[in-house]
Amino acid sequence: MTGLATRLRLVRPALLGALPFAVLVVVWEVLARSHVLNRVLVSSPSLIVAALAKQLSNGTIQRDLAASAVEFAIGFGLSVVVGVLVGVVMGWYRPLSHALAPPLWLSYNAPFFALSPLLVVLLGLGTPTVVAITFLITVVPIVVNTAAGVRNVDHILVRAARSFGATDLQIFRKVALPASVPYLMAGLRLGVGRALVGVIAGEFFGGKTGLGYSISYFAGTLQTDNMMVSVVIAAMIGVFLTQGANRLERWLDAWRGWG
Amino acid sequence: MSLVDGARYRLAARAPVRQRSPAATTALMAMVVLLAAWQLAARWGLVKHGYLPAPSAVAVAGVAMARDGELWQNAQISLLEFAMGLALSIGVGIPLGLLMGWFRTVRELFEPLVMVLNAMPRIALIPMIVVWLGIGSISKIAVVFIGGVIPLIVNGMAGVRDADGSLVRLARSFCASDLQLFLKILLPGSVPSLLAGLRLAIGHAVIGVVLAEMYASVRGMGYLLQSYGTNYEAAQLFFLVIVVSAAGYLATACVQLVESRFQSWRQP
Amino acid sequence: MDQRSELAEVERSPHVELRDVRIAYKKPSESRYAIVADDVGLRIQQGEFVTIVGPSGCGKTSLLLAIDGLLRPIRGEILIRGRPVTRPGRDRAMVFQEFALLPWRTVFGNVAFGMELQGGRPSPERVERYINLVGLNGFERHHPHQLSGGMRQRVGLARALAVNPEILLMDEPFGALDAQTREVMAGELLRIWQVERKTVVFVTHDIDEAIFLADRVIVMSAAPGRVIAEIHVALPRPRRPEQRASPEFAEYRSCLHRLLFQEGRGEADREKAG
Repeated sequence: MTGLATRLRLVRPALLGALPFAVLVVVWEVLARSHVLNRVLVSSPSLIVAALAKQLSNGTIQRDLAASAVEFAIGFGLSVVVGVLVGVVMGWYRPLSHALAPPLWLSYNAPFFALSPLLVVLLGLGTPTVVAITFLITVVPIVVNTAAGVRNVDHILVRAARSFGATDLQIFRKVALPASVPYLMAGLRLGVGRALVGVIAGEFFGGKTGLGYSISYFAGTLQTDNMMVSVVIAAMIGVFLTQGANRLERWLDAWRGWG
Repeated sequence: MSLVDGARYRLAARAPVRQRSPAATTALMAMVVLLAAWQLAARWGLVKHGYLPAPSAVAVAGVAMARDGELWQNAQISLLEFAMGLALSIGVGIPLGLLMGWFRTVRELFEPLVMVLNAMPRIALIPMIVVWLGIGSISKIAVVFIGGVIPLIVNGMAGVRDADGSLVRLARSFCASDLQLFLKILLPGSVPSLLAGLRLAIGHAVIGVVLAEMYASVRGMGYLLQSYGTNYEAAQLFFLVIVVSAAGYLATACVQLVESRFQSWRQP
Repeated sequence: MDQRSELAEVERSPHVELRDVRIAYKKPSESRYAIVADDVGLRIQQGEFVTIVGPSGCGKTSLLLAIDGLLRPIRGEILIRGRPVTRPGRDRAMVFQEFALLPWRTVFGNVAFGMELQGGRPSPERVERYINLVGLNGFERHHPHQLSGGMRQRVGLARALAVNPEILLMDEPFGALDAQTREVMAGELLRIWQVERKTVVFVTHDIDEAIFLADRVIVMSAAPGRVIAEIHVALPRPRRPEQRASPEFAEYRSCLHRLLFQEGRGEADREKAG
C-alpha cells in the first residue's frame, strides 16, 4: 500500500508534466477535426504523424537531418576550437581582451544572418554559408566565457603555484584550465543553443536542404503538416542537445571532484 | 632584490584605479587599427570586389539613409514591435515564473513544456507564426514574445526556488504569513535572477524581431536588411547590421548596469 | 501559608519545558528516520540564561529550532508556560548563526523587519532604540555587505529584541566571528541582557563562551544527542572579561572539557570502528 503511494508520488511530476502536452494534442486534434480551426493553416496531430511517416519513407527527414547535422557539427566545432583558443589568449593577455572588447560586445547581438546574400555569393549556397553564419553567431559567447574563466582564476591559487616554482605553462595547464571549466561549460551551453539557431536561421536564408530550409519551404508552399514535422524534430534536437550539454557539465564537475 | 620586486608587485596589484584609462586607450587604438585595416583590405580588394565595403563607404551610406528618413521610419517600427513583444513577455513571463517557483503543482504541470520551449530553437516557429498571424506587426510581436517569455519564466522560477533558505527560515521564525514570505523575501530575492533573465530575453527579442522581419514583412529593420541584402548593396547592409548590433548592445548594457548595482548585495 | 506555597509553585513552574523530546530527520529517499536528539528533558526558568554545548551534530541547533516551532519533535513535547509549541510565536525570537540579514535592506530596514512581520508599521523610534541598544547608531543606512561580521550579528540581535520576545533563542550566534569579536559580543550580549531581562537559550560549541554567559550549561552527547550533564555556573554577575582567567572559571572549563572529551573519544572510537 505504502509502496503504491510512494510510487504514485514518484511518477506524479511525470504525469503532471505530460498533461499539458496531452491536452494540447487532444484539443488541437478536436478543434481541427471539427473545423473550428482551419486545417490547412494549423494542421493537426494526426496529419503531422501522417506527414512524418511519408517523409520518413521518401527520405526527406533523413536528408534534412544529415544536412543540418553536418552544418551544426562543422559550425559548432569550428566555434569551439577558435572560441576557446581566442578566449584563452584573451584571458591570459589583458591588453588583448581590452582591445577586442568593443567588437565582441557588438557581435553579441549582431544579426549576422542578414549577411547571407553576400555569403552566398562569396561561399556558395548551402552548407558553406550556413556554416559561416553558425560560426559567426556561436563563436562570440564561447570566446567571452572562456576569457572570463581564465581571467577569474583565483589569484591565491596562482600565487600558491608560483611559490612552488610553477612555470607559466604549468600554471595554465594545472591551475587556470581546470579552474575555468565552469565558465567554459557555460559558454558551450550557450553556444549549443546559438549554433542551433544559426543552422536553422542560416538555412532559412542561405540553405538548399536541412531542417530550417524545409520549415521555410513548407511554410512558403502552405504544406503546414510537413512544416510541423520539421518544427517538432528541431524542438526534439534542441532538447537532446541541451540534455547532452547538461550531462557533460555534470560529468566534468564529477571529474574535477565537485560532484 | 626580492624585496624590491615584492614592493613593486604590491604597487602593481593596487593600481586598478589607474588601469581603467589604459583599457579604454587600448580599446580605442584597437578600433582605429581595425578600421584602418578594414579600409585598406576593402581598397585593395582582398575580398571579392564590392562584398566588403570600406568603413568610409559604410559611413557614407549610413548618413544618406539617416538623412532621407528611411532609417528612422523603419527603426521606429522595429522598436515598437520589440517593445510591445518584450513588455508582453515581461507581463506574462515574470508572474508565471514566480508562480511556478512558488507552487509545486504549477511547476510540475508546466516545467517540462517550458523546458522543451527553452531548449528548442524558437526561431524555427517564425514561419509557422507568419502563416498563422500574417506578415504584419502582430506576427513580429508574437515572435519577440515567444523569444523573451521563456528565459523570464525560467529565471523567475529559479529566483524563487533558489531563495536563501536561511532567510525563509528567518521569516517563518518571525511568524510570517505565506504572502509576507513571498512579498518580503522571495520576490526581492529573485530580482537578480529576473534581471539576468531580462538580459537573455532582450538578446532573443532583438534576434527574433530582425529575423521575423527578414523572413516576411514590408517594413522594419529586418525588411531593410533583407532588401539591401538581396540587392547586394553591401555598404547599406553593413551599416544596418552595425546599427542593430549597437542597439542590441545598448539594451543589454542598460540591464547590465542595473544588475551590477544588485551585485553588491551578494555577501562575501 | 497556602498562598505562599502557591506563589512558590508559580515561581518554580518553568518558562520553557522539554519533556522526553526526540528529534529525527528523514530523507525523502530513505524510509528510516535518523535520530539527532533523544530523551531530552529540560526545564528553563523565567529570566534564566541557559547555554547548550555539545559536539557538532548533537542536535543542539535542532532543539533550538524545535523550541522556536520551526521543527516538530517526533516524540515528546515542548511547553512554554505550560502550553505546547506547535508553530513559531511572538513570544520567541531567534538569532541565527548565518546572520540571515536581508541583503537588499539597510540596517534600519532589517531591524524593523521582524516588527513588520508581526503586525503593522514599526515605529521609527522603537527601531532606533534597538539600533542604539546594540551600538549601531550611525549605521542605520548601511547595507549588510558594508558591515563587519560582528556588526551584522548586532543587527540580528536588534531585530530579535525589537519584537520584544519573552524568550531569545540564539543558534551559535557568534560562531562565524573571530575569537576577539566573539568575546566582545559575549560581553555586549550580557550588558543587553541586564537591560532586557529575557529568558535566553544559547547554543554554542565554545566552552568558554558557554560558561561565561550562562546561569546553567547543558552538556549534550554526540548524535543522537542526549543531555549528559547540567552545570550551574555560580560565577558572580555582572560578569567581567577578567573572570575568564579566574580559578573558578578554569574549574568549570576543565569539568566541561572532561565531559565533552570523553564524548569526543567515544566518537573517535566509533569512527575507527566504522
